[in-house]
Amino acid sequence: MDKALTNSIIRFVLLWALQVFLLKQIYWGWGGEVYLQVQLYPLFILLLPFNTPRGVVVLLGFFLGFAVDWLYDSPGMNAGALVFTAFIRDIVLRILTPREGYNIKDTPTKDSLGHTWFFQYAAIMMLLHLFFYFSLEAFTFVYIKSILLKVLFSWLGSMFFLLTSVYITNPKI
Amino acid sequence: MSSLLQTIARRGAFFLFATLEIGCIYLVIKYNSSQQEVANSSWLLYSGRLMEEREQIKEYLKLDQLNQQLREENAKLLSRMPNAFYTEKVVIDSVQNDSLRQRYTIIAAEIINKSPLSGNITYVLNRGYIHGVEPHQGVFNQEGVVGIVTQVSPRHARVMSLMHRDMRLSAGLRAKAYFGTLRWVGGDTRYATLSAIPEYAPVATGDTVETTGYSNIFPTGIAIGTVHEIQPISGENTYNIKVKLFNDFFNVNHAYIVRDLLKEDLEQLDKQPQ
Repeated sequence: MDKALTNSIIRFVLLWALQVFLLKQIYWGWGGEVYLQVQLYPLFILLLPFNTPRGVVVLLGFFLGFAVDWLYDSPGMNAGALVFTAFIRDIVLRILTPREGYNIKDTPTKDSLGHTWFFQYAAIMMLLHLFFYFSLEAFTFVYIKSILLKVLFSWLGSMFFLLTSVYITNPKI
Repeated sequence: MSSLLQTIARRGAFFLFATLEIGCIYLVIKYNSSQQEVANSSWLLYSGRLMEEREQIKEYLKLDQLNQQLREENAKLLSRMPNAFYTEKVVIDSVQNDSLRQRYTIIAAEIINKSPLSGNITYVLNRGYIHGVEPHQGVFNQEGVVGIVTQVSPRHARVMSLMHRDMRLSAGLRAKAYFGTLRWVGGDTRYATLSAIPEYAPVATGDTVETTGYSNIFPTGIAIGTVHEIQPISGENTYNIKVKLFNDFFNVNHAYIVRDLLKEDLEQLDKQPQ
């Protein structure tokens, strides 16, 4: 079996389990509102190989998001956000294209493209993901300040966990 | 159709994304109470606004019909005005027979064409001789006199407006016995000239000028305009009065045509040698 495929399947299951059983417990907020949530599962979409067809990325995003929703008891919210993140992955990758271009057989990791590039990539993707997620949660832009505050705190928390896990496991493919 | 399918195939990822996203948003609204509340109240807000707009548009579309109805009604009412009747008050011995005979009937019409923006304005009305319109009938609207019918076809009539060099109209001062001829001498289309008003007539600026009814075209007392300026003519004992017209002749849309039922009667009289 293809190494990339196996890796992706393992990541799917692992990230899902980590998210719904462990990271779900971490939250912080005040006044009855949760401002910090840790969302690590978008890492799965981030680490899909470059040559994954865009439609497949979107579909996988939907499945993982839906699986997360299943235990978060929030049908559609994580799925909606991750479908969006999966869709814009191509656009973000296109914007971040290094001068020499991508190696189509590669996977976007810090090993293949460098620390700075990976940090940028993860930061932008997480920011967009969290913004979409919290917009869906509020379902209106009337409380845009609260949305932005939630995005800020959750982004810091999620990025901490994301970078930690990437530096510990050091995924290559 | 095939190009549409091609587009979908080429942009499959986007359509997949859109479909899934719509599905997710549907799920969010359907199964999450707080989002459902937001969605419901927004829906109510926007649908309410939409319904309001729709009502307004419907009303606006109905306006035309309503206008038509009102004008017909107006025409009916105008033919019942005192000046639309010919008095048959005949005193026989001491018995008074004061029945009133209908003299003028009014036809409501719409102006469907105008001559280009210049002097000598003419209009085309959407009523013709099958509706009872004949040449030399007067045309007016709620502001005042508009013109006189010159040509008639089965369903349309041409009207020479007051702003035409060939137009002559018998006009007088309201509540004063003096009268003269009103004509437009060219120039400013807001003014016309009333001539042959005697010098001793007590005219003041602001007096209303109206039709006299002597020309058998208009009933008595249809407004034309107000006295704007009194111009004495040297060597003559009459005034020329500059009349500010009520009507804006470039902006007339509806009109009433006056039909004099006693016209033939009067023509008979004119044919007899004096």
